[in-house]
Amino acid sequence: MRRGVTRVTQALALLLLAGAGTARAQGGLLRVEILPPVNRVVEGDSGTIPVTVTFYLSSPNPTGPTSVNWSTTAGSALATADFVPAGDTVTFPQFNNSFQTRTIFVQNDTVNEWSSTLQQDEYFYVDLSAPVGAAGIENGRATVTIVDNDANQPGVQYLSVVTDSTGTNATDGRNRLQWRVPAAPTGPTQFKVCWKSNPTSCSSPLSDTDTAGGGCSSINGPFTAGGKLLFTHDNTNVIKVNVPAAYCYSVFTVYGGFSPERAEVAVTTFDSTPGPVKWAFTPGHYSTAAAASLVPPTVGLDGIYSVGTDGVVYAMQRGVGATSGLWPPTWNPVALGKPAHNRSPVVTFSAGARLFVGTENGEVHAVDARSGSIVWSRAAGFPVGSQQLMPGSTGTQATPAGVFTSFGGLNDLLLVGTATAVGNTQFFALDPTNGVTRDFYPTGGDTPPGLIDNVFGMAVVDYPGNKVYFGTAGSALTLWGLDMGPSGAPDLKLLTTPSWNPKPLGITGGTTGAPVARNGRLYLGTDNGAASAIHSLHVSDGTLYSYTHGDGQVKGFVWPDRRDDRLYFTTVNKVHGVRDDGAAITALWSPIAVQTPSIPLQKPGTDNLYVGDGTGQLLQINVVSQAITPFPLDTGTVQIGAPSLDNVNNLVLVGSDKGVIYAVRVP
Amino acid sequence: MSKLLLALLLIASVDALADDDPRGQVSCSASVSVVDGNGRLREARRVSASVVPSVVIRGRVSPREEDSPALLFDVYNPHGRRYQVLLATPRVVVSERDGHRVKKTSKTREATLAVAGSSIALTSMFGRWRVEPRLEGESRPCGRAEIFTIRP
Repeated sequence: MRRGVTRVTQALALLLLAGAGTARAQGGLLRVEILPPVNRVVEGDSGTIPVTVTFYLSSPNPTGPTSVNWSTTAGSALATADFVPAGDTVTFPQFNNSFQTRTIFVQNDTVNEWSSTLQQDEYFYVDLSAPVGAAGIENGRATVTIVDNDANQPGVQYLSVVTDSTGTNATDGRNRLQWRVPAAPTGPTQFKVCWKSNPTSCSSPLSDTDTAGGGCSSINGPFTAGGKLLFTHDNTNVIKVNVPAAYCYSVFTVYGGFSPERAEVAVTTFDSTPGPVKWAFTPGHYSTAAAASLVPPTVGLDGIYSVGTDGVVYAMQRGVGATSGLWPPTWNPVALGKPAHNRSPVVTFSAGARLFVGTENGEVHAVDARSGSIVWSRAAGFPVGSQQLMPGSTGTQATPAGVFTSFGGLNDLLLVGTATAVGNTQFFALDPTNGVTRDFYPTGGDTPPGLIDNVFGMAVVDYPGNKVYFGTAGSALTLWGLDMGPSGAPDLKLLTTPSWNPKPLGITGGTTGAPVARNGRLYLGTDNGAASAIHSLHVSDGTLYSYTHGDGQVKGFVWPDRRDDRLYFTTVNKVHGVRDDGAAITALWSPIAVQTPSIPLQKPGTDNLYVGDGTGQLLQINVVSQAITPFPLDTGTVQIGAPSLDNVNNLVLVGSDKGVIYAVRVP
Repeated sequence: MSKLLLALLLIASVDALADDDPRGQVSCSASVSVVDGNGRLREARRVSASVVPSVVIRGRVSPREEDSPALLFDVYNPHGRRYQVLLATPRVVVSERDGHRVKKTSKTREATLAVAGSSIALTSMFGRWRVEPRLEGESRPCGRAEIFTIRP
């Protein structure tokens, strides 16, 4: 009886809810996920491996059933060869949102699909489509990453080390090595971490007996193939870590005998307790040289992201604490095959945080910022459906910019131009959730007709005006302004007002950087040898004037001081400060000589400008007094790349052409 | 007698060298080019980072075998540090025959290195660059290094 009353009460409540909900969407939001959430499956040799796909509905639908179609979609993993294609319809009954599952299968094989050079796992997707009775799809794609197990005795993968210190004593140094356990037909039984040390320089051990000035530690199995391992070398070890000193590690993978793939990494220890450098992250490699990490790291909510010139995306935990610099717990390094050249934006959607990376082979990738899974790739080899290929496969790829509804935009769009050896490109607006082209410019009917020249820099978005601006280089350097179209129907069209559009800068040859919008003007640096300049274009009337500096390329973009009309930029060997009074650009100071400065960064609200140089230093330049405070990070001719700011933790993050990422505490 | 001894010694040393090289007589090459505005390749000894989007590095492995390991190009910056490892892929040549487009895989393998707008330009990494061809899995080059210059 009691149960009957409850049922009646529930039914009444649901009827009331249903009535109340007529103005709302019928049901909840749909999600698809692979559990466990790291989404990585280690391949076998024969048969198949079941993978559970879980479907969620955020709230029950009181008005009827809710259904959604799902299907597997090829990524770099191919249907039939790498996974069993599958799909059907999932239906949630009325009043019921209990999660549902389906089983899909990874196809095992004995084909070696792992390259120790590219380090790329294969992956495919599970996609949702055609929802009925739901308010919408919150997360319509899950990624299954396949860790290949067919390489013969592979070495450790994605080796990296975080260096800091745990105290102020001379033996309080700490090096924490991390790597992925390789998958192989028969897994490794032991890892041996060996090192050599010297006050100034060292070489990595070639064997476990080649350890003069160092030693070895063994880690015995069993291990989880594809799992992560952490080895800490600090003052709790028998052989402690001196500060400062050079340490060269080799990690040997033991399969009875040693794997021929000896991973190595070299670091210099430092005292992080009083010193400004709080930690350093160094990727390792299979042979003797490191890969440059000159691209400015991206600071996101879930971590700091860096793409090396080996195309591997690493994530580091933020801040200054016990785990800072280490891989975030749910993160797995991911290889994109090619490097990026500019900072990659991170944007949070209801489906999760996404890192958008444009790589120099003409591809654009979306990576889940928490797990490292590839969410989509617009790649030459595997385009999205029947979408047109991105045309940059023989040249550089500009970094994606974006406009997002969560920041007040009319649409969610990833805006990206490309560069090829022969020009003739287009400017694309991609859907950030799946990489599908929403529109591109120019298309048929656009004015002017015909293709555009190369886009080398990031576009800049005018949110209130729903406009996007970018520069092209080729026969003539030109600034373009496009309208992005109405909400729900993105349409890239040349702006007819202002009438200057497109604006040739009167320069033939050379390249451009990325435009910056400030005070109703667009600023663009151009590289045309001695005639290189920055240009100020008044958007309202097309007034254009320039400031020629005579020192070659403007690095990337002009940094506007958000407090007034000052601008800062760097060139081949100089740092410049100028002012734009609305009629002309004039110098604030005599250019400061700095060996090969990076793109600058100003800490908001301060007079401090940060620049990496070619002598292993991060420089803090006071823009009022021009006083320079150096932060030495390395010695000799080491190039320090463009800085990024973690404003919450007062850290500037920079990479070097030795491949090291430094976290530097700044005032 | 002494000439015979010398000859035997020379043969022995050649055999020893062959035993040291598990791949036998495998050799490879690398050459650096740029694509001009008409899409044609031309040799590149000096490249302007303000003009050239990318350089093309081409190489061959001989003898050519289906199962020969991947050809890599180690690209070293003017500081002598390795900047990138490029995986060379077989070049696909598309031609027309009897009105049909025919795809043919060339013996030549190639890879591209981005220049204009890349980290090279953004950090003024100007000077002499070196490209060394290498077979995947090997630590030593399999052919002669190529030098080219990137200028502003």
